[in-house]
Amino acid sequence: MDTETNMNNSNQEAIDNYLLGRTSRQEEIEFESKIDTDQSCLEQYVFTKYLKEELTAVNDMKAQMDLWENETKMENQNRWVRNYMKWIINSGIAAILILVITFINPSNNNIERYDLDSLCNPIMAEYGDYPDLSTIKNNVLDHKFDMALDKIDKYILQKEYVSEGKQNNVFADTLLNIDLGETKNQKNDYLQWLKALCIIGKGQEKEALSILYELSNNSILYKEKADYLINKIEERER
Amino acid sequence: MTIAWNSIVRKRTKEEYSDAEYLLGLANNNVSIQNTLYKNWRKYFDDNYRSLFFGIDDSKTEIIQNTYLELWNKVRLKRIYVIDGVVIGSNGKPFTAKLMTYMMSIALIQHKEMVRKANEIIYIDDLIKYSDTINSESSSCNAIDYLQVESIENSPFLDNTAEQDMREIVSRIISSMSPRCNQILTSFYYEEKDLDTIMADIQTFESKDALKTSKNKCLSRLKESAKSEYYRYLNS
Repeated sequence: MDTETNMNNSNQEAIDNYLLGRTSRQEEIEFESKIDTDQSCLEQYVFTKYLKEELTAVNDMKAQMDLWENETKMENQNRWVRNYMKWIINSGIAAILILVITFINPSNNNIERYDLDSLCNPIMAEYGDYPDLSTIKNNVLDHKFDMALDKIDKYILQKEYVSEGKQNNVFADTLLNIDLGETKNQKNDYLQWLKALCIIGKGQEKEALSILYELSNNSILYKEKADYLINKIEERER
Repeated sequence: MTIAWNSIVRKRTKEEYSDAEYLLGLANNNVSIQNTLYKNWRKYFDDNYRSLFFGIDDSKTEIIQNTYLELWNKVRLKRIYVIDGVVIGSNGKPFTAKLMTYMMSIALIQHKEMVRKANEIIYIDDLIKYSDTINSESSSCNAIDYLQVESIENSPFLDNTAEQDMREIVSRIISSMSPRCNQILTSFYYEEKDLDTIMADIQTFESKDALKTSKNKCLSRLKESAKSEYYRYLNS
């Protein structure tokens, strides 16, 4: 058996050298003629050949699978990091929005301290509102301060109130026996008053003070209201 | 007639293929489709294994990979193939199950096989000890050789018609051989290292002859296992 085992080992060595390309051309020829005649050696050669080829195929596929496995792990890790980052960013955005809505949005604070409904009515309302200024008033009541300011500026610039005032407020003017020039001043004061409300609504109370002082000093009709707001703002300043 | 490959290799918004396309991808060695199949199989296994397997968390990846290897072998060795877009199984009849369901059934068999092999390793280790005892007593045979009973002329390795079967069996037993044999044979035949380098890597062999003997024993054991499995397959 020792001789047989040695022979088998020697055959295996020749097979291995042949399969791994570790033979000279002469050794190759000798080996090929041996497997042509020796069935046992041929069987061992075929088995070893299958084994080598299958080992190579299986190990190549295993290496490929390990690569895919790592890819999957990386993808899962990246997905986790992405989701985590998304969560943090979304939470951050939500927190910032809440802060903005709660503390920064100017339209949400100052003006709510005052009774806007009553403040927006013109002093002369009991003798009829100014229909042409009602959209501006409504904008102020709806907190659309920029839109209202824009309309006020345009109104003043076009000086439409002069001619319209003559047509629309004849009834009020007649009742009060006020000349048209005075009506014009009333509308002008009302526009200035609305403008001051808009500026306060935008959170710029200090900027509104100059208009309010102007009204307090020059408008008999709006002096009381202007003084009321000036006091309120100055109290808050203190 | 098989499906034209050009119709398969097309860009998709979602990486989803039909079962036939997956198998053609395996057969044609399309790495992109293989990658997608592996990842989808992995996800399918992850989603469903808890209802079928118990306590396999440590060997989960091994089962996933062995199952994939088994399917790959079946396709590579044409046990499973595609004709006219229809998947044909090893019995020559069209597949009735979905590919993922089929892979799950392979995984179940793989798992049973792993449990069986775990017991068998103990048996083979006992056998080796027995073999070593006999050798040390200068007996004329060893236990593995003792199992060899058929004549060389009838060897399935010399039967050309059995080549596909034997390749499949060899491929399967490679996946389940002992870690030691795996290390030696992979180093020698796959990495093509010489015995001196393998000795330096493993460091438990005192001589090159001991390593060579160990390698040859592994070969002998694998050959006998392959033959046994082939005869079992013929008789089944």
